[in-house]
Amino acid sequence: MDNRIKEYRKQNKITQDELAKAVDVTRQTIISLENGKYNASLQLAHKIAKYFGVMIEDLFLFEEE
Amino acid sequence: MEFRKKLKVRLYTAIAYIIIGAVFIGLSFTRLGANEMISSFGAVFAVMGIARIVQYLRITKDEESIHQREIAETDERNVMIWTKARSLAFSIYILAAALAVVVLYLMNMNFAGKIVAYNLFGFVAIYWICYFIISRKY
Repeated sequence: MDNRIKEYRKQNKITQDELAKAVDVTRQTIISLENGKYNASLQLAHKIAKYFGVMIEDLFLFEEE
Repeated sequence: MEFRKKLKVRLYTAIAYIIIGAVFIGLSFTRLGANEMISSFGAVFAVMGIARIVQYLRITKDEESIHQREIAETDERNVMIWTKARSLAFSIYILAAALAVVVLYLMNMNFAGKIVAYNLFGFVAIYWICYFIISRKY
């Protein structure tokens, strides 16, 4: 699943560490999310979307098979 | 469970380890448990207990390190990694033990083979019991 976390993070001029602290995860989780190596749980996806003030589907690009 | 309570439980566990270790070491000086294995066992417990207390003191030195530790332990990616690692370790253990049973029987080491086989059976039985309990929960 692709996501636009990096894009939103850069737009908002915040670091990975700041985002990690804001959503209570480690920085490594943010790095893995941005690299597409890890898919966030619904709860984390909701937290990140809420932090950026966007809808989950704007941030995470769900692909139908 | 609140993280601070979790840390407290870990501290009490560490103290219990030290007590168990001390008991084993004490036993090794008596006629009842006079063998090296008992004292080594005791030393391992005591060292584990001390290491856990040192870790507890490092974590609880200030609010920030408690929070950092809580995040590291509850981070969903870390939890996933731990779960996957445990699952892989379990699979490798089952395969290695099954292979060991065959090799031990081929080498006519029937008693050792039997012990490994019972151990394997026990592990699989525990897995299915856990599966049953967890599947009822969700």
